[in-house]
Amino acid sequence: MPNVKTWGLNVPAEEGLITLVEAHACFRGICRALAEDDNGENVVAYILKPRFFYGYVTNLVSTAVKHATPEGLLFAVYARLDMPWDAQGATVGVVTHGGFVESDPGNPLLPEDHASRYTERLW
Amino acid sequence: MEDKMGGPTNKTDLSGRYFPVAVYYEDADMVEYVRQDVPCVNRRIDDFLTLTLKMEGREPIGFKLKGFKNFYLHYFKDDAQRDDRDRFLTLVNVIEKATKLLGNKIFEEGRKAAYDQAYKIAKEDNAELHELPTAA
Repeated sequence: MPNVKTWGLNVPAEEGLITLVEAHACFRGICRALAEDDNGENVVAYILKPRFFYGYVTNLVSTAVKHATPEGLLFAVYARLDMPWDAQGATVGVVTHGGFVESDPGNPLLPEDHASRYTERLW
Repeated sequence: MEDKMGGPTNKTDLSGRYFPVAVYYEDADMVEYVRQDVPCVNRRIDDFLTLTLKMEGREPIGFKLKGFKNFYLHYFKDDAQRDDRDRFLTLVNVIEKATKLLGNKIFEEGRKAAYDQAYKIAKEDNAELHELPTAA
């Protein structure tokens, strides 16, 4: 994206961003239907807490601007596992979607209703 | 709707206007419709509906209908009539059907308000898909 790394509002552009391997929690099973899978058992949810994210802006210099993530929000990334799944080996699958979710007021590092929205906590 | 489909995404013009369209994500088996291109938060209502809220102020601006193909396979596929397949593409009809299937459960934990909000957005914007999920 043009100028995104050099625009003053974004510098330092990559500071505070986060990658999937830095997920502090992970759940398996999303308790909802997914195509022929009636309960989304073969989906994992990675939970991250990024300090910043990028949003669209109409500007002549760049169309992406860095924002601080508001308190009380986490970022959930969902991946559909390739089956059969080997729990001891590397996780293989496809990242399908993601987005910000509200955190549990009692445990700000986990999503709200995490006990009922996921089947099992992996870590 | 043709004009909307031929909008800025096709021309990769990042300075263009945002035109909301309903999109089916096959890998996630989910339809998403969002009115505005702004930072947002997803609020899970139940296993079928997630509301999309503006990050600032939490105003509802869209929704996700999850397990969309699964829903079709269970409740629409046997109905071979063309009219009913077309009705499925209009999201307000899908939300209506889901509401009926929920029955009294819709009154649990604020679900009704959330379904009403999604219904209102779908109806006001005439949100519709342009084709059925693959192999549905």
